[in-house]
Amino acid sequence: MQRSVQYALMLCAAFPALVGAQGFAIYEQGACAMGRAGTGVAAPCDDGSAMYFNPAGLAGIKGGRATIGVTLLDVKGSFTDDIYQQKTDLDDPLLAVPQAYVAFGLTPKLGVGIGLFAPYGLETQWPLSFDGRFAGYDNILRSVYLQPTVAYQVTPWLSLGAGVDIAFGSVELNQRLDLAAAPVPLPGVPPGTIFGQFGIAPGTDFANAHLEATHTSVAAHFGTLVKVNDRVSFGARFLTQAKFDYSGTADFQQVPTGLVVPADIPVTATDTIHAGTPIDGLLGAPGLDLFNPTTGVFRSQPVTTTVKNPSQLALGVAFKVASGWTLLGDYQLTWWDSFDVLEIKFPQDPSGALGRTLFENYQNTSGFRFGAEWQKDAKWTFRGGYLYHQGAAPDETVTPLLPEGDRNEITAGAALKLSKGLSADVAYQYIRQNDRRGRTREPLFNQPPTTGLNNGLYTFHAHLFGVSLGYKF
Amino acid sequence: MTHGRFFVAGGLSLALLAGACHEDELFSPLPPQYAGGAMFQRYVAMGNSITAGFQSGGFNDSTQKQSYALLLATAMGSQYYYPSFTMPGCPPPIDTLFTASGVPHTLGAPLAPPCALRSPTIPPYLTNVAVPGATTFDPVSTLPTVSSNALTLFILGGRSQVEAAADAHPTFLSVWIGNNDVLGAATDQTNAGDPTKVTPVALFTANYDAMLADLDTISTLQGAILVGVADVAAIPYLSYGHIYFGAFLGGAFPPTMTVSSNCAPQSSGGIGDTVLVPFQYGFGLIAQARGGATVTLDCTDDHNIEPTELANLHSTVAAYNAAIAARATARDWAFLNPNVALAALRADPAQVAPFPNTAATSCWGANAAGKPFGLAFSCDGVHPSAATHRLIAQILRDSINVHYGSKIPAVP
Repeated sequence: MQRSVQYALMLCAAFPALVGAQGFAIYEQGACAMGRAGTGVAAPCDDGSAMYFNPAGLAGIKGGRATIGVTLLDVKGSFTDDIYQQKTDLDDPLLAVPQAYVAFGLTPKLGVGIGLFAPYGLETQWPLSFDGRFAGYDNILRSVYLQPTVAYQVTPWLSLGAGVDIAFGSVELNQRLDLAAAPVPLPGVPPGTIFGQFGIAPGTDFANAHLEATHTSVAAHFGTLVKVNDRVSFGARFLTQAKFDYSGTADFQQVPTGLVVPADIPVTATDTIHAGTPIDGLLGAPGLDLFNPTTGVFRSQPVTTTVKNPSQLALGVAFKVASGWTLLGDYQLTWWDSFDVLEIKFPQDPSGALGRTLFENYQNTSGFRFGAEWQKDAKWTFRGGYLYHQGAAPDETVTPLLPEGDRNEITAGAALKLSKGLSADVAYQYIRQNDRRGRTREPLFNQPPTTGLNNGLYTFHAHLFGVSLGYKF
Repeated sequence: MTHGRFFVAGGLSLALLAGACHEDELFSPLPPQYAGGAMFQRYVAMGNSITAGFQSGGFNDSTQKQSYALLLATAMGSQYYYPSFTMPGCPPPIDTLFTASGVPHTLGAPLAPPCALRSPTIPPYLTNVAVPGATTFDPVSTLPTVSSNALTLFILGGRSQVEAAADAHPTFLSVWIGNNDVLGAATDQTNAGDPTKVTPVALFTANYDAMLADLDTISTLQGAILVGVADVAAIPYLSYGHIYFGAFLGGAFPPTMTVSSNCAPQSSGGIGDTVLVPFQYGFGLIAQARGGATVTLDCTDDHNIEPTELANLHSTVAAYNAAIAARATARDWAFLNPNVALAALRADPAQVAPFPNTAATSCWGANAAGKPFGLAFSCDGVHPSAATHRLIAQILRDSINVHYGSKIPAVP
């Protein structure tokens, strides 16, 4: 059992950061709001996206709206290690985050709608030559929220709205395991001895791990909108935490090392590993038998964990000035401190010893958004904005799964009325994240990470393109 | 708000972006700040037991830290990573050679097999990839060879020396390999100097060329120094027959031990100044005599390195070194023949004891009385002492500076 524990700890060391970073909160849920840096709590766009930006914004709408959109993320990032000064680029494909909203004004005061959006998501792909492959080289997190919404204009100046979110979550992690860091579960070898002490070089892949898990959760979304007068309005929204009790499977494949034992190695007074023995064969030989599909440490087995998508609060103000101009400002608080410790459990381990507690210690983050919108005429509207957002990961938790940090972003957008009911919105957003030191490896054996593990510099920036097509009926 | 104000806001945003923090200065190590220093930013040492830091028949973190490779890397200002072996060692070094029982005492308690392993703190790469026991058959081999041993695995982990060196992205290399291609024959316990156990020069050069061909593919390499093979006659493990003869005449041996007159110097009609007696054989006879057995040291006995065998060892080493020097020249690399310095040490009895000093009580004494084989060698009579490692580092540094016009500071 001891070897099972040790190997499982190797595997799970990387899992939590996948689902823990600030940067995978996606705020680009409509090209209209995206063009003005995501501002809109106090003045949601008239395209149904109020379901995300402020549910109260559906109150008082006339007729119906149907909007579909997509945000394309062209992510660029790299890691330059301290030792070799070698730069490795992220291998991410062009990512697409869809949105769809349908809203209808049932009465002059009551609006309803249903929205589909993905407020949390992440995909990081690194080449297999990257040292961070032992933390995760192909990592995907998806959280898709389906939100029925209702909003009511309580008074001419006050509207309230709320929605229930059915949240579909999935996570996938692919990582390599490093033989140098693996324990040597041979009789006669002191417990805790790792293959690295037998000379195996760091970065010797011997197994590939694939973890996949899903869960459906529920959250709630509340909003309020206060119109002080025709020019000034305030808004607030609150998205509750969604707790995902993920359940899935861990699968493993042996990766050949091609290494051969160069000389007879006595391991006990009577046992010797003979010269010429392939190390790959040794790992599968009786006594270790790591990859036996029924009894091996690396057999397929269930894995569970609990992850919380954090609560969000946004407060905003909008000010309509002369000549069709509107200025907007939002403040956002995300409670990432709920992601401080993560428990990984393997239910088929009767002793429960495979479970692990991981320390993340994420910090609450604040975001500041400033936007402007200029309605040039009945056909054209132009938008722009700037935002700054803090990173959630502390200095010791910047990893290949999400090497995130403080960000500065600028946006621009435009809307074109194509016909009486049909309109199109486009937006562009540039994200520039501050370069940040981080690590490629996870600490072994349940150790809390420290900045001493940081071994290089992460850079990150991204180009986002949003497009929405809306129809009023 | 005018259009102008809008674009001012946009410009402000861009300025904020431009001011985003860069931390490049946090991770870029600078090359050493002296003439030619960039070439030595990452120095890697290849070789065998001497380079690895083997002393007194053993190997641990303490002896590893005395290696000339570490001293040279320190002088160069190059990062140094070695495969640290925990105490007492793998195997533990001898700490007292001469004991009442006649069995040398090693450091620490007896170990379960295989030995004290490497430290669990594994360095990201190795800059000292030398393996005790390695011959020219080993540097490119990932498979078992006649000279591979447990340390081959514990140090290289299934890689070859060249592969491990390449993994370090070296800018500069030192290669001191080939000593064991003759040392095995010289220290053979049944027929010291056995010519069949000497790697033939043609095979030696073929092995060496194979190694160099692989080294030539390392794109980061800016320079190297090739070190010639040490002449085995310079090690105090081997004592001339005439020294034994003189000691015999002086009454230094038990009465039941005789040294044959053929061990006298050539000037006295013997061959004793062209015969080397291995420590293990000569002192084995002394031990037997002390036990009451009647023994004779005969300089024509196969246990000794006889004149023709010694001549063969000398000529082979000379041929090896000529081949190594030619290959260094062809690549415009530096070359060092260590035998000049080693011969100078042998000329000083305090440095290289002509006959083992049985009064030595410890292998770690600070003066001649504390060193069985003299100040220059450790307690196995084969491997250099810490002081000689310092000397080797210094002459390597001098040779490199002369060849490359660099200004590597003096060895600390």
